[in-house]
Amino acid sequence: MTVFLQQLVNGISLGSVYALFAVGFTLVFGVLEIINLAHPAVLAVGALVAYTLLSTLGVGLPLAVASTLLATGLLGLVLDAAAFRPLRARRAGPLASLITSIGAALILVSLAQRVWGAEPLGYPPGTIPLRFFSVGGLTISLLQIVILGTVIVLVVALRLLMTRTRVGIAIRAVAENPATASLLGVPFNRVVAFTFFLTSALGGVAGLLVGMLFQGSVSPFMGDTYGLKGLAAIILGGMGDITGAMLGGLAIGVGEVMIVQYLSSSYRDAVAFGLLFLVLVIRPTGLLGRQRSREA
Amino acid sequence: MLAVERLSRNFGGLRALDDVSLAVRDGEILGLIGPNGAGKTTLFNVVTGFLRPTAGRVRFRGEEITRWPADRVTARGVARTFQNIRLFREMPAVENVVVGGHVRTRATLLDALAHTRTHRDEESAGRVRARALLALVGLDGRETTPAGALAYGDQRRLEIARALATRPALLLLDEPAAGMNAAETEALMQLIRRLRDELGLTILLIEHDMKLVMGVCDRVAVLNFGRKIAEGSPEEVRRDPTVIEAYLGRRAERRAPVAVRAGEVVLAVEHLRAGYARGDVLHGVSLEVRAGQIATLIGANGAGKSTLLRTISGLLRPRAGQIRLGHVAIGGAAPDRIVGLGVAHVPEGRQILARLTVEENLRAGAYARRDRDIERDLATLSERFPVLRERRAQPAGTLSGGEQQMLAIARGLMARPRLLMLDEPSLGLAPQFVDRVFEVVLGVQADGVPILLVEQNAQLALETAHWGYVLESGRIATQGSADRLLGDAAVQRAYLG
Amino acid sequence: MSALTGLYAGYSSLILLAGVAALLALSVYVTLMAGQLSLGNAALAAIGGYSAAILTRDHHFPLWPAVLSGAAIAAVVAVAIGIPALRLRGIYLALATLAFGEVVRAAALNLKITGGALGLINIPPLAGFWQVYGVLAATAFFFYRLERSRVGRAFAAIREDEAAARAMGIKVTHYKVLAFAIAGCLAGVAGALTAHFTYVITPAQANFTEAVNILTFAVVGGTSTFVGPMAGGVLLTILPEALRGLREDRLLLDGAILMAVTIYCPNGISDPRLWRWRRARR
Repeated sequence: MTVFLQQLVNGISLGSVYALFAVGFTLVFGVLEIINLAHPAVLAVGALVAYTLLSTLGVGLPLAVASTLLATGLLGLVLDAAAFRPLRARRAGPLASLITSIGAALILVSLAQRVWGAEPLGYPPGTIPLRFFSVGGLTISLLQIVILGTVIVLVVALRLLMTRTRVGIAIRAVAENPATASLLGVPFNRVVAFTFFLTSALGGVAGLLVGMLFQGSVSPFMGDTYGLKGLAAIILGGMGDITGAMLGGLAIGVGEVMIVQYLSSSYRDAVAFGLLFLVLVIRPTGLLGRQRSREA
Repeated sequence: MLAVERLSRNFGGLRALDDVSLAVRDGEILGLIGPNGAGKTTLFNVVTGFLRPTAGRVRFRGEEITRWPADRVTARGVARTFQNIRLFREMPAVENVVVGGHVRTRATLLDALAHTRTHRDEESAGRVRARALLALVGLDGRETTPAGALAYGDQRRLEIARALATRPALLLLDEPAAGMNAAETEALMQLIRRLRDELGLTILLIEHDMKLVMGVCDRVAVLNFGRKIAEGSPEEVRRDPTVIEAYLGRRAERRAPVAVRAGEVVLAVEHLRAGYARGDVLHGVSLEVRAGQIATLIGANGAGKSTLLRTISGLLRPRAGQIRLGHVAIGGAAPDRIVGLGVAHVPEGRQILARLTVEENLRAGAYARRDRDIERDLATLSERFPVLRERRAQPAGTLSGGEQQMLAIARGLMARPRLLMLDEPSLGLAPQFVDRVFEVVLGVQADGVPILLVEQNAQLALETAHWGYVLESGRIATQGSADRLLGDAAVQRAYLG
Repeated sequence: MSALTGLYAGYSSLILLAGVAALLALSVYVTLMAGQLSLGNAALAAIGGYSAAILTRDHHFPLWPAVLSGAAIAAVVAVAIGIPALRLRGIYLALATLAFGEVVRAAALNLKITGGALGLINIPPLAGFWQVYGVLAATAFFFYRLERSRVGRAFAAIREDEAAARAMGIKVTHYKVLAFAIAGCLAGVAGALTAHFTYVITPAQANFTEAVNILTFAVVGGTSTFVGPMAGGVLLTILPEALRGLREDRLLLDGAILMAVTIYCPNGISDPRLWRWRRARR
């Protein structure tokens, strides 16, 4: 039983990072109905920027998080302006956006490689002191607490933004019904740009957290696996739904850890994606997703 | 030929079809009319296999086809056109018609690969027949034009040609004359008669254009709120008081609007022309809304009422003419700018943001404002609309139709608009809700907000407003004080021909 | 002539890969013709490749029976996936096929018969220029006929408007499944041939990146006619190699090309509208 709970703890802390990353995917999908495959590259850039801040510049963790948020957020704005907005102007379909996001991802990875090289990097060992706590027979590391804490803070902030602020309601209005949002005076392109700022910021911090969780794993290519897992999370939780993305991410994290523990690590992917296929076929809107009823 | 027996179809709580029985005789042209939302297209969808009925049966030539899928129904001999035109837009016109012949041919992939006799013969015969059908509907010479590039009236005719290619015995036409001008409608009427006389087709058609219905149909059936309320010859139906009431609304004791002296002009529309890719819908419309007033724009379905509102609020660009809010020209401006200047548009069908809460919907309505009084207005409106205060934290999608309409109006008011535009607020609402909504509308006017009210229900609109405009085929046919228009036969003509 | 053979010898692998890329692009194209987006074709190719390789290497089958068996198996799997996934539209279908692809990759990684992570090696070198381009030519002919046939029109109708297609009496489900079956066949053949001129096959060939690459071939090439995906496949295979000298910047250029083509030619480089304009200019 203790093993199960222990793995649950591990799964939750891993899953929380997936959740943060998945939220970015789902927000963009909710607003534009496209899958942004440059998001994993943004995660990698975030991790790398954090590396520079933490290692090269010796900045403290809270400041590093805040700066990464800002830096990758701005990157999101550039991404929207360069890759997605021109396609919106030409009324290209969702396939075109998918391809262009792939192109943007390649460019980002290549530029990152130029700046940081291709070899995996690690954050300075002292960033999070190696400390463990014993709670009811379970071991929780300070690292896990910090990660979970950061994610919770960001998620709560996001929720407040979405429900209490003018811009948050505007984003949700556009996701719900773009034509009606226009009638209420919401400027579509500006709201979309802000959405990209938001999602990329969160993706970047997810990268930082991944870098802390897996020592020595920071490289321009680290985003690849997360792309798939992020997609899996939003399929599970329902595309376009933020809470769903979070639950999906947690489920993937916990599921991953459990499958490795109880089945075998090699079949992990097969089982996971097989389940995903079933979810899509049986309930395409995911556990919490909505019916597609609006006209864009 | 076709027998519809006690057909019902529910969508959640909404009874789109309620125990409808209808028979279409061999070789006749039967018209199906009724106000917006009466269930006419739903009936088509059930008959042709796009929807399953909740109860009842459909029989075609004696055979029961009730739950058959659409492709099987077509194979049996029932063809249709669509209200929203569903052509294969990228394909050339002639190819659209050839596709129609699919169900009557049988060449397989292997036939195509081996270029067998079957393939070659069917291909050439298919093309020959397609060209003949195009000529029949008057589209010869337009064969290679992509369907999406054709003029709107031509697209409607192409849909008919395509349906004919399936060699049907029964043809269902859904608003074939929508968007056509007088000359095109006349040509369509002749075509329909030819289809029956020369090709031996039986025809069931939905139409709002009364001239066409009265001119071409042998019999007419009328639906309202999902029920059949009348059936008979065109003349009988046109005079039937139940039918007139269904379209124009019933006279009732209602509060009259607060009389005001006409103030300054808040909205001026001059010689406006606007429309969609398929062509102009508005052909030079001029109207005014004055401070303190309720002005109403009435007219039959398809006359252009919603198009006008959409052009004013910026969703559509005008092609000619001017729109002025006060002294500011807003024609062609972006929607968010127009909203910022004080125009609130409550769209057709309410269009609330279903997954946001009631309160969030209201806040969204205030998006264009940056002042500090938003909270205070939120409180005031919640007072005024108690149902909204009660359901403040519920997702707006859980509200009933009438409550949603209240929410949509309140949301519009949150913008503290200089002008409130309402698009068909009575649509789809049961009568008692309609009363409540219109009381609210009067209350808004009493508070000093001028209103442009677009309504299909002429009676209701004219009883509520000070001034009325009657829109017919994209032009203002008549205008005057609402009282005067109430008794004016011109209004009845605009609706019922 | 010797100059040409010399040229070929130097670039043979690339030329063959370009041909296979065209085949794979066409396998995605056929489902797009019927309005469906499949991201599982890399996995289908892998299935074809593994099956054929096992047959030739371990059971001494000649090339063509092995290739056809591989294609048949891939087609059957494609239909098995297609049927449940049929009700899905657009991006949901794409994700379902993607999930399927991952299952295949994971299976290949773990099963003994597929050789685990290292895959299968020492596959007999039975495929060369004529095999690959012969198949490609036959496939091109197939598509040429398909596009001008009743079946091709049915696909196009379904792609444009499924409801209207139904109203024309077209059995939509039947044709969607057919499209998947053809896609499985083509991908299977492509995978089988690749195995026999690269001499290895690994699970990595069924991964997400490969699947997405195939899609880019089709989209960049343009999907209005079959020539587009072929051109896209060839171009996007040769171009990165031609720029290989730039090493690190290769990714950058790949990405820039993708973005530029999608933004400026959203319908692909074979968009008839583009070429018509150019001719008119003259």
